[in-house]
Amino acid sequence: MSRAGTGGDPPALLVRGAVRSFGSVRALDGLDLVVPAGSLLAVLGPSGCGKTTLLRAVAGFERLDAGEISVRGRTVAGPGVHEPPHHRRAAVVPQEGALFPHLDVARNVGYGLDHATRRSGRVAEVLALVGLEGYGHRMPHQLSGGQQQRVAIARALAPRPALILLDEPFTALDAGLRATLRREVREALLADGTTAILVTHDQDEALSMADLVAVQRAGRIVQVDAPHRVYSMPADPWVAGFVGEAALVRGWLGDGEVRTPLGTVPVTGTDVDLTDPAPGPVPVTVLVRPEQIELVPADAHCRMTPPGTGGGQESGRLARVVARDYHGHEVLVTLAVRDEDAALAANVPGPGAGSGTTVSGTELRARARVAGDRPALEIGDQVIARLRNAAKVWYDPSR
Amino acid sequence: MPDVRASTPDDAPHAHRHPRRRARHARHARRRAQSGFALAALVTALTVLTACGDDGGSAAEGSLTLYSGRNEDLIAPLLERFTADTGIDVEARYGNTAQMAAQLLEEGDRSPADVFLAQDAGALGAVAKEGLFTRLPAASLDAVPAGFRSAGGEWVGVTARSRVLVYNADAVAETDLPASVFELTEPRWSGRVGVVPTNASFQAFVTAMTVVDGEERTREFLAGLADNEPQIRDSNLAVLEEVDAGTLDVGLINHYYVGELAAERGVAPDRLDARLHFFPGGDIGALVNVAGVGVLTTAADDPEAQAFVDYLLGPDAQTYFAEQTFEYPVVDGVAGPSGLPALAELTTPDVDLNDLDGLEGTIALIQASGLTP
Amino acid sequence: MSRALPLSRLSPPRRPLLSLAALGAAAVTAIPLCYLLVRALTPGWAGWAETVLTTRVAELTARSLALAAVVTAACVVLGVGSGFAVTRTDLPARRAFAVLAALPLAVPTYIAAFTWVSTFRGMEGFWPAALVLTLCCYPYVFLPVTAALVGADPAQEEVSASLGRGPLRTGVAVTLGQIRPAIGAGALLVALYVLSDFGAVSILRTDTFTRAVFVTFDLGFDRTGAVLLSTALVLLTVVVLSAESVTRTRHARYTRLGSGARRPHPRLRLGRARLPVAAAMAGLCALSLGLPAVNLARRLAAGVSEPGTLGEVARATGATLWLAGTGAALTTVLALPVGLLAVRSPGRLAALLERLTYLSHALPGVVIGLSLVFFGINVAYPLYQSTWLLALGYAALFMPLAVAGIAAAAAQAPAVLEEVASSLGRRPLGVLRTVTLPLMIPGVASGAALVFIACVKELPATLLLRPTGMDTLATELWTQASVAAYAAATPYAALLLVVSAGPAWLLARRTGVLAESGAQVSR
Repeated sequence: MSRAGTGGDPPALLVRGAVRSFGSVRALDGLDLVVPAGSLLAVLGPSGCGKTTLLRAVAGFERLDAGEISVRGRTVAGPGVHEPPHHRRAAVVPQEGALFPHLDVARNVGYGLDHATRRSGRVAEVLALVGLEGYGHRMPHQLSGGQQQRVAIARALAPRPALILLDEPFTALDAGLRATLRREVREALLADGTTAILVTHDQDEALSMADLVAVQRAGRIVQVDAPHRVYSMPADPWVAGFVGEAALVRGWLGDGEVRTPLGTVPVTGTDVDLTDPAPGPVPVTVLVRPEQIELVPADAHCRMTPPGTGGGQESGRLARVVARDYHGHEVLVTLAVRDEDAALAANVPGPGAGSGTTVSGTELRARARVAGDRPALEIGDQVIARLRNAAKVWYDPSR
Repeated sequence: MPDVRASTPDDAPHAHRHPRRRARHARHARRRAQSGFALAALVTALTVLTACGDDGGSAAEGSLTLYSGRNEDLIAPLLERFTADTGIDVEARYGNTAQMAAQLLEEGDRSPADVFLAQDAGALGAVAKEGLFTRLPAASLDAVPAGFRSAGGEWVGVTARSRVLVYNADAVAETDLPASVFELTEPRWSGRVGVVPTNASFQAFVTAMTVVDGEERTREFLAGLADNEPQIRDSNLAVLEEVDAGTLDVGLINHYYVGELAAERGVAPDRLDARLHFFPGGDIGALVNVAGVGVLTTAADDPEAQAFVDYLLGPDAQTYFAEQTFEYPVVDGVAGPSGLPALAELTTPDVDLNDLDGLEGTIALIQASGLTP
Repeated sequence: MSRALPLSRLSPPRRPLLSLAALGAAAVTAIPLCYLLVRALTPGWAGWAETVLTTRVAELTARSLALAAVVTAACVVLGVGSGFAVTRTDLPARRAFAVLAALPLAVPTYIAAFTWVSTFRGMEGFWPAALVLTLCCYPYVFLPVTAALVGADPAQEEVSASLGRGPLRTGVAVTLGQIRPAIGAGALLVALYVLSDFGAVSILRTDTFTRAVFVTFDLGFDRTGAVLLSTALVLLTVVVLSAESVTRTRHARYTRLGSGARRPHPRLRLGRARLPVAAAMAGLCALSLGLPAVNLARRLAAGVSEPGTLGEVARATGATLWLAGTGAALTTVLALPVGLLAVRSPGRLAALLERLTYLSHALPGVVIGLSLVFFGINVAYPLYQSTWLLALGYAALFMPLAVAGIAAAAAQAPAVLEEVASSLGRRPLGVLRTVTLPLMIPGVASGAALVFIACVKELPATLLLRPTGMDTLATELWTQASVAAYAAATPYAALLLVVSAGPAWLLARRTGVLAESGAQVSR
């Protein structure tokens, strides 16, 4: 949950209307963002969405063409203002750590400190925070990649900056180390009460580490929310497709329920007006997460009682398993549903969206999760797919 | 060691070489540095580093700045004597005569130089032509024969040197020596003659040939020389060494190089295998040229500059040149270098050095002949 | 944005202060060009055309270019071959060979040429000159190539081998690709050096542009003619530089930060070829170093002239150290902004300034000397005939040697480190002092060492610009040699080599070849 500061404090970072162009490319296109003091915010976006530019603009390495940035209420960039990086108190942790190769760990960590603070024990303190007590005399090349990254974070923490800016700091590390380090870094940041901004294209990283996730697309922030809300209540179908597995299907809204080919379920969220007095069902786009699809083997279907949850009226659709990805604790299966009336596929706007949905002729494909201990489904098996739990819906753009 | 410029400095040797002893070095022990001093020198060098800071551009008052196109080995001891005699300090700059002339032309009237000592009349003429020399007093000019000074009085010769044919005594019998430089285009000299066409002395010789024998004859001579498989070398010294070693039979050089080589070998000049042949009968191959001196306009009223010119023309310096550099004195009453025929005994061609300023035509001729790039 | 390029590549940061400093530095190297322009204007276009547009100049051009091409190609072969031998094979005594291969830098071409011509009578002309220049210049290729071979990522070669390519094809496809920028940088220095060299071509009588320029000065004191010829030499240099630009591929500088201890490269077992290869290396060293040394010793034994007092020799050594040290320091300081700009803010301005420094590198020393005489007399009279004007002359001549080192050094201090440092609150100057410079110093030092050696050997500009009364080893050598006092000249020549040997050793060490472990030998 958010550790956002109380209302009286200025936010740690405020970005308003930031614009930065490179030639004809607008890396920042009127971007707005507020980061409450003491929080860890992840900026999540696909490659090339301008998130690194945002970070560099906040750090002071890039000049804004328009807009304004203030750190703890102090304007550091704006019309006629461009404070140099060393006045901004925004410490960066770059992708590969970028330790000073000629300085040992202690002097790396103490780099941003004045003489008095360096002797006060702050170096040892932050090294302890990242679990590297006693490593002060090592040289950077004697450390593993994960240790280097921890030193880089300790170095950024040491001078108690107003902001720590982490630029995809874990991408260079292997997967196992990454998870551990994420947790430890989060704890270290928490323990020191720092405000941190983490730029990443990795949704797992953003969702697992951050208090707040800001989703950036084409130079703008399209949603800022707690991780679970970004996942369950995405601002638009594009976000839904970008954050997590998603299939987007056509549905018809009426009486607080949405009727889909996979079943009828209640509606969550406030994006649609449930009291809409529209005559008859209204066409909507329905977000289907893999965990919302319940699978029943087709041969067993006749003997099954209707599912107790979800209150679905329909009994689901016959689907065929076309692919399966084994993950140990679960299996992700890709289903093909025959779509005779060609009405299942939702009309999804935006680039790169609908990552979980493929429309091919008269087939709809969706993915479903099956617990790993359930009987294995083989490719080619027939199953009944049925929607359960409340679903997020959007009106069609035409409306 | 190589001569690293296009033209060899036409400088004369010591008959008996001494290390340079400049006044400011006199206090140094006279130990001979022969061997094993390299490391010691490096260490010492560090201690004198601070002493090697900037030297100002112009000399202090009561002193003289000399630009010398002649070799430091030869001139420095003479300057010490001058300072000892007159009490006038000399700041000397040494370099290649031609490049130093170019430097003087660039410097113009802001030159720190008071006096220019050059090793050939051509360089002096080039500086005089730009009006950078003041007119010398008649007393200085009249001390030397008219042919050895500038007609306009801007410079005066200090020493005379003769063009010679150097020959290997084992390879060429005295009776076979050519009577004229023109004979060198004959087939019997094919592939046997060392030539240094890029050298200023050779240049002056060719110019004199155009004056005396006409341009057409000169062109024929150069073409004949070029067709006769000449052994072209980079410096007079290189030619001399090869003649002495017997890898070349004869060569066209200035006379005093024999003294230089003999000094390096530690023997008298007549002990070398290389011998001098002065072309007889006023042949242009025995042209006599001078090394000379001029006073810059900036030092026109400088008594020290005039004192230096007078000193160079005085018996002390003239004797020094004859003894140490193997050159001919230009004033009366000073004996020439020992072992050489006296200048007066030679029948030298009748050429006024002032007529030798047609260098551009000469260069074109030499280049056209294919002897130089 | 559709491209996933790092943003810094899309917009090189504008660095006004750095650009200004680089402009100022480049202005120093522009002094000779301005001088040539001023002097060439005197005879006007017609005079220029009359001097330059001749068959003789065409011949000089062809011969100069041919000599540069031959020497450059030979230096590439020798430099790459010996670099490969000392870094990637089990050559015996390879560390010693690595140092010996760098040492010919200390041998001035005039000494080498003189050695050859007096050892082998009648040796002169194009090919002997090419031989001597190659023996003197191949370290310009050897050093960067060796450094590149040591620093190259072994993973790429391993990948190539794992894809079924044998050592030879891997060498050609992968290793050569990795060291290509190093070869290019070295080859350019060699080509420009050959254009500017006077010592070898004059003694070995090969008519190149530079020899023609010197001869024109000496014959008939024809300043204008020499200047006009020099302008043609500048144009020739522009041609060489453009040719080099066309073939140059910008290589992405890849700094492996935090990669831990680097794996050593596998070494090729030479087997039966081991002794022949060692013999070839020894032969190369004998020709480039042994021959001059033997010749000096012989001259010393044969002559009776003496070099002067210990004090005089020490004074000349001190003056050489002082002048070359000052020259190297000033050149390096001036080259810093040019090299930094080229790496940190690549663009048209940076490329232009970098190229500008190369232009005066190919000019004969006498032209540089006269142009600074002109500059000193007309613009900076208080500096005239001071150490500083000579140091400026050295800077104009040798800046590319330092720029190349600085550009490589700047890659060792990637911009991201400076960004981190400033984000931690350090001021720009503090960042320069604590991060950029400490990381760059080794690379900068090797650039300075190259300049130092070049200054020690330099003669024509030194003669024209040195403070009155100051003798260096090179001028003393010239003084003695021009009056046949060879025995007296020998100690100066020997000291000249000794003084340069230290920096040459430093350069060999900087390549990393001396520190590399020699244990691993591939099957």
